[in-house]
Amino acid sequence: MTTDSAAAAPPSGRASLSGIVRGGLFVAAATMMAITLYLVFFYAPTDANLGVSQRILYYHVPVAILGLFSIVVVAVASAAHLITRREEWDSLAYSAAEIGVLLTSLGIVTGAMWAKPTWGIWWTWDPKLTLTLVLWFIYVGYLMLRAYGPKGSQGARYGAVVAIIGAIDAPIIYYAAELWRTTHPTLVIGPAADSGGMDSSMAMVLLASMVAFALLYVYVLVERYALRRSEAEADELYRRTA
Amino acid sequence: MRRTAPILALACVITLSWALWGQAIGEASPDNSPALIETAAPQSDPEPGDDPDPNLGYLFGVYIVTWAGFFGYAFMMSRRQREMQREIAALRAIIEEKREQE
Repeated sequence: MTTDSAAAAPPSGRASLSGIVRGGLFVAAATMMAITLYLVFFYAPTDANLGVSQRILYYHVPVAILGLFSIVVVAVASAAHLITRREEWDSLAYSAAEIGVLLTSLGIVTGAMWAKPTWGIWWTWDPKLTLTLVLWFIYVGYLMLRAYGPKGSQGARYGAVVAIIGAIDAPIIYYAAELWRTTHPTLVIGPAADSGGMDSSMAMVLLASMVAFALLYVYVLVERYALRRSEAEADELYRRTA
Repeated sequence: MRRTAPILALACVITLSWALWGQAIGEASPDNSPALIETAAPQSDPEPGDDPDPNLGYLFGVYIVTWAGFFGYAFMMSRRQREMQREIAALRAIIEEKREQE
């Protein structure tokens, strides 16, 4: 589970510790994912009205929530970068933004695939769905700014501002079903969730799924961060050879 | 990441086979399937000859799309990491060469 960048650098205690942590994260995520699969297919009860399509909940909700959480990580890391000017914070923000695009895309696609059998349509301009699409555009805008905007510290600062402003969308999406009359169901997870609105065994499986996806998120984020640092190292070496 | 890719691919195969196995078991022995939980007004009984689970395709679609997304991203990261590794090694060699010449 050691990374290529770690293998290239002279072996050190820090590199091996990083390898152990990443290996441990991967094993934990894979184990939890296997347990979650068992729970989803063998333990969770089938909804009498929605049938098997209700089991989409155990993938759609964690992916969508983590997509939402990722913009908060981007904003916090960006704020830390603006305060400290440390490049590591910017690398973390960029990595979280890239994973955020993936998770938000999956959240939108899985949501559409659940909406079709449940509502009879793939998409509706419901506030929660529309705001999630806006979040997707914020992520894409951030990454485009980083790719095509100014390079170096100036680009990082511009990106940080976009991320901090974009993060305002996260609480609005979370509370959208409470703020507006929406087609989307009310909250099932988080501080404002409707307690008792879900069968206890379903809630338990959803919690296990949340933990599994959270571990997977941290693992992928750590790997992407390592890659980002390798890219920064390559840029630095290019400057030295020029 | 190089060592992770085959493990992830294996996990994908296990995921799909597990899901299909669960479906097969559910169809073969309905008594052993998880209990039904009613969360809203009951829907009307299906017509004779109707598919009892017409939405199964959507469920598998979601699982396949989700895992394809994660594996695709992991594959992309793995490839990029290898490229970076090659570049860093080549650049280090150039710097070392320059230093020796000086």
